[in-house]
Amino acid sequence: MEDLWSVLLLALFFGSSFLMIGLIERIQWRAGDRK
Amino acid sequence: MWTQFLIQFWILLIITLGAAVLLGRYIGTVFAPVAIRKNDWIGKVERRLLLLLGVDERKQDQSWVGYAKSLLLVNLLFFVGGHVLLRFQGILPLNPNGADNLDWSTALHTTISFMTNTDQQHYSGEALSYLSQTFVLGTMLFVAPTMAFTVCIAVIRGLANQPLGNFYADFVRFIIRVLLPVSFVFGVLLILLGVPQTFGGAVTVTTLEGAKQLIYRGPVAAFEVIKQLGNNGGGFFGANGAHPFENPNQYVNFIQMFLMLLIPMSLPIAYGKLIGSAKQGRLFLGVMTILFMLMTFGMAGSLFANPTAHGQELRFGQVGTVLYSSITTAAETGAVNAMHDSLHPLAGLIQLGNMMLNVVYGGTGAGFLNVLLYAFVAVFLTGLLIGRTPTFLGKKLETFEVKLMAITLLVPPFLILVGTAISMYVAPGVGAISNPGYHGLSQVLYEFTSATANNGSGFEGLGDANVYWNVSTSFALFFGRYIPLILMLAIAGSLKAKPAVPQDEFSFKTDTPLFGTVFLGTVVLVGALTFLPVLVLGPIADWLTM
Repeated sequence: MEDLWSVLLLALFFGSSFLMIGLIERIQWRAGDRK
Repeated sequence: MWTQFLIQFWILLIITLGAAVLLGRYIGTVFAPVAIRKNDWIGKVERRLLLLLGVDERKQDQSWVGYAKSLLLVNLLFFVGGHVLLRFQGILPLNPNGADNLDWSTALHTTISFMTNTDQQHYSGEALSYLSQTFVLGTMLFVAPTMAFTVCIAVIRGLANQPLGNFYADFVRFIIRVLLPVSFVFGVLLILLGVPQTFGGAVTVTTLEGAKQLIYRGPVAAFEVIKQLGNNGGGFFGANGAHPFENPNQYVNFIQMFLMLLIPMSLPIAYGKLIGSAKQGRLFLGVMTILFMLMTFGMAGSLFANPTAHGQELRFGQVGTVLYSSITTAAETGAVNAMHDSLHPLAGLIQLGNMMLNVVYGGTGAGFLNVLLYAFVAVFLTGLLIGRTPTFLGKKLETFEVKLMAITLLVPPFLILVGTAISMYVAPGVGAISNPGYHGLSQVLYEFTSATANNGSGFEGLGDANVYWNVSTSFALFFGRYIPLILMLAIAGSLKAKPAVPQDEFSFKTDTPLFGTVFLGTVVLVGALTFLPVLVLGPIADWLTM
C-alpha cells in the first residue's frame, strides 16, 4: 500500500515532464516555429 | 598555512587544467557530429552495439523533442528498476551483512537522488546490500552524469548549427569512451593506494580494549572512482570522504579532487572545438576558473581564521578540508571529507554560493549548460543596453528563447526558496533542525540547495531521514534536474532551426575579454540578486552573531 505513494509520485514527476515537452512543442508549432 | 594552501592549490589547478584540456579536445573530437567524425575501431564496436539496440546513429538524428523523450524514458526505466531492487534488497543475493529492505520513501528519495547525479543520502551507506551498492547505485553512478553530458553535447551541437545527434548513441559513447576507461585506470590506482575492493562481508575484530567491533568493507574502490569522476558524490559509507576506507591518505584525497574537476573543466574546451572557436571555450574556462579561485580563497580565509578547526578533517588538515570542501560544492559532486555544518558560517556561505551559482565549473554537463544559459542572458542584457537584437553564435535570441531562458533561470531559486520556506513553517521541517536560529535556516537552505543543484552533500545536523524530507527533497531533486535539461534542449532546438545572421564589424563578439567581464557580472549579479536575502538571514546573520 505504501508503494502506491511511490507510484503516484513517479507518475507525477515523469508525467509532468513529458507534458512539459508536449506543451513546448505545441507552443512552437502554434507560433509557426520549427521543431 | 597560506603557503601550504597556495602550493597545493596551484599544483592541483595546473595538473587538472592540463588534463582537462587534453580530455576536452578528445571529447570535442569523439562527439563531433556523425557526418564529420572519423570512424575508428571503437566506433565500429559502438555501432554494432547500437545496432543491436535498434539504433542506427547515421540515419536517426533526433529533434530536441525526440532527444528529450528518449532521455526521460531511459531515466524512467532505470528509476523503476532501481526502486524495486532497493525495496527488496533484504531478500535478494549479495547481502552478506543482512541489510533490510529500504522503506518506500527512502527508496524513492535514494533512487531519484542517484538518478539525478545528486546522491543526497538520507540513509547510512552501511544500510545497503552489496547488490544495491554495486548494481543499483554503482550503475547509476555511470548513467546519471551521462544524462546531463548528452544534453550538454546536443545543445552545443545545436548552437554549432549541426544536428543534435542521437541520445542513445551519445549515451553509450560517453560511457564507453570516457567514463569506463578513466574509471578503470584510476580505480586500479586507488586500490594500489589502499582503498578496499572486495565482495567479502564485514569482519569482526577485537579492539585493544578487548571490545568486539564490526568493520564494514566492500567494493569501495570501484564505487569511489566513478563517484568522483561523474560528480556523483554519494558515499559507500555514511561518513563519505571522511571514512578511512574511502579516503585513506593525502594521495587519494588529491586524486579525488582531481577527478571531481576533470570533466567539468574539460567541457569548455570541448565546446570550443565543437563550435569551431577555441577562443570562446578558453574564455568560459577562464571565467569559471576566476570564480573558482575567488570562492576557494574566500573559504580558505574563513577557515584559516577559525582557531578551533571545528568540523575539519584532521587527517588532511585545514588545507585538505578547504580544497575538498570548495571543490565538492563547485563541481557539484557532494562528496565530503569534513563536517560542513560545523565549519565557519562564511565557509557555509561559500559552499551555498557555489551550489546556487552552479557555474563554478558545475557538475558534469549540467554546469556547462548553466554557463551557456548565463551567456545567453548576458547577450540578451547586452542587446538591450546597446539597442541591437541579441545574437549568440550568429543566432538571434528572440521572445521564445528568452521566455524559456527566464523559466530555466527561475526554476532552481523557486525550488530552493519555496522548499526552504515551507520547511521553516511546517512541523516536520522545523522539527528536523538541530541548531535553532540563523544556523537552523542555513541547515534547511543547504538541504534544498544541495538537492536542486544536484550536489548531494549534506550540511548534516538536519534530521532528514523521514518521509517529509524524503518526499519534499525529491521534488527539488527531480525538477531541479529535468526541467533545466529539457528547456535547454528546447532552446537549442529552436536556435538550430533559425538561419544564421551574418556577422559584421558591429556584431557583439562573444569571445572577447569584454564579454567575459559581462558574463562574470551577469553570473554574480543574477546569483546575488536571487539569493542574497536568504543568505543574509542564514549564514551571514549566523556569522555576525558569533
